Amino acid sequence: MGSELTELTESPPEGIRVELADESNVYEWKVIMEGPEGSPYQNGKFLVKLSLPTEYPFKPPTVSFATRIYHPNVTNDEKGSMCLGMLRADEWKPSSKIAAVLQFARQLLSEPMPDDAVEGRIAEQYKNDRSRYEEIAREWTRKHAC
Amino acid sequence: MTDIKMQVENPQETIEAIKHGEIDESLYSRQLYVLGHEAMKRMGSSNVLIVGLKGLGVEIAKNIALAGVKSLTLYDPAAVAISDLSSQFFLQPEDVGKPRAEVTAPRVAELNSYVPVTVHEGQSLVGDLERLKHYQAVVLTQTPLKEQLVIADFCHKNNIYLTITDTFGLFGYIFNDFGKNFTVGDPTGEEPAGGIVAAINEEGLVSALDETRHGLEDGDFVTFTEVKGMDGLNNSDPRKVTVKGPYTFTIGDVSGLGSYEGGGLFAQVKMPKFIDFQPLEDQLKKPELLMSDYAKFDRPQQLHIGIQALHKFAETHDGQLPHPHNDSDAQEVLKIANDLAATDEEKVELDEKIIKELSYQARGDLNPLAAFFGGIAAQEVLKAVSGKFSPIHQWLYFDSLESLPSSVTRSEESCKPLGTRYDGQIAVFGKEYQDKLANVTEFLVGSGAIGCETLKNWAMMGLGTGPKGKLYVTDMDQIEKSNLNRQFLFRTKDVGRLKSECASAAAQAMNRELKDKIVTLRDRVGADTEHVFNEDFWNGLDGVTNALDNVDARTYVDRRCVFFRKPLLESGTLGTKCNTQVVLPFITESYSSSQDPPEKSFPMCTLKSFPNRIEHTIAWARDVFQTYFVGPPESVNMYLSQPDYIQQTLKQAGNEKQTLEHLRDFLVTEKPLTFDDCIVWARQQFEAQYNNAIQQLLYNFPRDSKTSSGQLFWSGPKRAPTPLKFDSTNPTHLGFVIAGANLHAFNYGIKNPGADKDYYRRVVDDMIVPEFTPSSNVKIQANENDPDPNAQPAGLSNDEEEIQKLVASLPSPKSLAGFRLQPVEFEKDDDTNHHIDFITAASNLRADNYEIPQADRHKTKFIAGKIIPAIATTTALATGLIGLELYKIVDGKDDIEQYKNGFVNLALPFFSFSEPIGSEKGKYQGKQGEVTIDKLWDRFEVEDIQLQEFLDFFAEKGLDITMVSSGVSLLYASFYPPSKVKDRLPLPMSKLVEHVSKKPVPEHQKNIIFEVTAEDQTEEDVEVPYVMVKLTK
Repeated sequence: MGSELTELTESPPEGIRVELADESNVYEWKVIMEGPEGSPYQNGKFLVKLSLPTEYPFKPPTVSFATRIYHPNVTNDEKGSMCLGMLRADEWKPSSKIAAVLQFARQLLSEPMPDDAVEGRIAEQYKNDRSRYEEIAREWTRKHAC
Repeated sequence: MTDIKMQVENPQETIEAIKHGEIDESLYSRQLYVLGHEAMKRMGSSNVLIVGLKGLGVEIAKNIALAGVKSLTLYDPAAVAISDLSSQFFLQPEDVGKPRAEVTAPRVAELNSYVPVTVHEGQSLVGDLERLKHYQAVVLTQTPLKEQLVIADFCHKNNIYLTITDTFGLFGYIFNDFGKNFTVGDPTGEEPAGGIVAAINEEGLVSALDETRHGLEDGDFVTFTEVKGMDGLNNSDPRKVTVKGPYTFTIGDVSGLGSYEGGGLFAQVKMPKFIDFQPLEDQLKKPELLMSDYAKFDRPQQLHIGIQALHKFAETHDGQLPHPHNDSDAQEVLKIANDLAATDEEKVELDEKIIKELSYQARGDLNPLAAFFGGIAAQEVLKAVSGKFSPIHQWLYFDSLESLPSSVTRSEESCKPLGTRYDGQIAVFGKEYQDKLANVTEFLVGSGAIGCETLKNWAMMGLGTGPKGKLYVTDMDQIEKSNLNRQFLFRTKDVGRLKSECASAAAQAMNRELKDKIVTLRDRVGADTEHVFNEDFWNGLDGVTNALDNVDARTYVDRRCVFFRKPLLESGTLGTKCNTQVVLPFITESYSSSQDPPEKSFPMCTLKSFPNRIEHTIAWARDVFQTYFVGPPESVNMYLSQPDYIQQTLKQAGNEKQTLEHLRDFLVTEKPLTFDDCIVWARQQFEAQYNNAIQQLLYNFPRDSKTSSGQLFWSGPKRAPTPLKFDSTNPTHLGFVIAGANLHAFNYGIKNPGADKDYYRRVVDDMIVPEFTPSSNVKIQANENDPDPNAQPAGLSNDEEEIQKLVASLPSPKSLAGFRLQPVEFEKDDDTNHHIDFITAASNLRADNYEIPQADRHKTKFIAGKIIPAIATTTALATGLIGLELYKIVDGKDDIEQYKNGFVNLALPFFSFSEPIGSEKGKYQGKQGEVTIDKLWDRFEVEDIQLQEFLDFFAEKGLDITMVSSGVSLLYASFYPPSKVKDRLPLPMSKLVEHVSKKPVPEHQKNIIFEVTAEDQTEEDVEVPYVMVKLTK
């Protein structure tokens, strides 16, 4: 975990910045994720919280959006939880790297997965009324993430 | 037969319950989850006889009495000898000379008021065989082989299940004859497998959906439902499975059943197994041997002959077994054994050393062996009378010769009887080793199921009874009724007492030499009690035995044992399964070195909208329970008691609206004044969850909607729901209202006026429940937590305004001075508190929505309460194995090959022993070349030096530190800006910790642990041991 933090701090993946939320707790990470270009989240800076369980890497970290975001795969509530297959306890592999998790999460901003949605309504809109979805997502990004 | 008076609190009620075949679920709760109702009912109609009441016999009697049968009868007219007390925990020195069964029976009877315990009278069993017909199962211990053969023949002919078992020092065996064509109803006790079908081809190859393992084995049977296309497969006769891979299996010919179109569920059907047992006489000649330890694959044959030789020896020596460690007796036994082997068909080549040890130890009587075989034998009897689980077919031999001490020399002189209660143990190990056991200081962490058995074992072994010996026992729990079924040191009158005190007192009563030798504590062992279990405490221990029920505590104790370098004995049980582990400083890995697979959790999306298993609806119901009865009442109380609560809430982005709405609902709009209001509230929740939310979901995803790839949206794991229409005559519907109303009323301290079902029905039938129209009109949302996307941009700009409105709508805390809600504390074992009732109803209604088969209250309680199934047999066995390892630790063995970790599943039955895994070694390139380290047990130790000196200390060794942390605080990292590092370098390590964690180091703490990451001379990341900084205060 220590070496992952060093690596992510010293050479972070594109659009992602990582730091400790508080030095007194190495299990809570603060991630600033930039909205990918070409997505309605472009220019947004999203605060993502990454919590590591004490059993890490044997148990998966949890990822949640502290900045509100309009997205089919992120719960539209105070939790901002993400439904990421690879983060499920029974699918998590101790060899997975946090960098990959974060890159996958950012990729999801560019390409939502409506069939695995947590927010059915947003997913439906994404599929049937893309321009409306993009409009709202942009609006939310402007309001909450800029 | 004499009836021994039972200790029954309420005899009339007990008799009535027995008559109706009812099961006291609050007593048997944890065991019911192992055996099931059906097996327990069969046990409840069985009479069991146990012959021989020394240590092994009483272990079996204890376990069977706890498990519950119709009646238990004991036979042993022989007089109690002082050496019996080596393992017979229900005997006292003043019992010497009295008949064993008679003094033991009333003490066994105390264990379970539902099981009458009597004595089988008479001086000879073989003289009056007819009387055995009264029993369904007979267990023989301490019975001469000649008599065994007569009784075995009679039992075989009369369909009486027979189990024979005995121990001789560190050796033991068990034999079963359950007759011809014995039926096993459930061979494994595992949950039937099941899953979702992805496809079935014309060859009958079934693929499970989404690469989920089907969990089936060759020869299993499955049935199908909901298959489209191959409709003939649905609900047809079970099909036999051939496994093709983890995700595929075939079911034979499917021609003429149509072609598969989609959908389908498969479910395993348990088929009974039939086993033929041969009588003892045949089996003596041609034994069917089950292996207990693959490292000793040729030993069962040796012991099979050796033990017959012991019996033959006794026949010519007035019924007496060979003298302890006597060479001429051993020679004679060896000769008899060789003669037997010569006539044997198998032509077994005897190992002289083993046969001689068998003779040396024949009179030995060790409690751990009795506990081990007592657990197994009792489970075999339960298998016989219930048909649950696969029996041992037909012999099982076991020994623990590795437990023999090597630190002392054994001789006829040192092993001879001394007229003490330990003579059975001295016969095997000698007096000198007995003194070692007596002077041990051991710490028992927990006195629940494993703890009670362990204390009993220690009392028998005489552990800690000597001048330098001491036992520490801690447990923070109080005794509950559901404990009494297996925590056998506790009685009904003890419910509510502290476990550690009660168990210690019982152990002292078993062996009075433990008087003043047990220190009883009531503290949880954890980071918050390090002032109690401080450095002096740990340093004073010789070893630690865990008797815990959770991983966190195990991990903590394990870490402490590693830190203080103390040997640890670890064990755990799960139903009929158990494992035991030995942790030895600088030799083995520790408990935390390996991890159990994580607890299975369900993806949120499945729980929220797409359940397909009852486990999903139960998890959802548990969550609803929390959001109705626990969370919001807690928020209300905080709002009323903390002056700045609203400000704090508003600071949490995203959270504020929901919290404020909860406050408004609970304090204003939905605040009930009467119990009727609570009923109305519960009825409204029914509508919201099971009708409105489902309608809304179907509005968003109509039944015929397709995914982007053109597939039906509602297919595979997504089951299309159907809204429920409330019907007050449906017991599940009304059950939801009743439980919900009572819990809501509990929140507000409103008294239930003694409402009966009609009362609830009247209230709900009088209500007008508004019709729900799913639409884009957000004002009547199904679930207010879900914002509607179509209205969001407008809603957004109103957010601030809305929040202010919400705040304004709340009554001021002052106006409600003294008013508090009562949050519900989830308690699964109280059957009157409506908790499990609510979760059962809530889960089953949702199951109805999704056409998932319902689960009854019993099963729901099991899953929602995360109950660990437990039975006394497994616990006894596990502690027996731990006792055998304790012998080795006390002897001071440092050869890892002498130790055994165990894994047993009594249901299969399966036994496996393995050498512990050695601790991991690492290396790094230091300044003077390669350095080898023990990654677990080694550590660096330094004084409370400055950070700079700390870094220098490692630089000396050729290690370049890249990160330093302590606990969860990160203190130093090579990527930190120089300005930050500059301030920290001069700080002593203790001050650095206080500076970053913003917490003082506690006064009692004598050291601080630091973790470091480092690069060695080759600039490679290397794992290095942790660093202990010693504080001088």
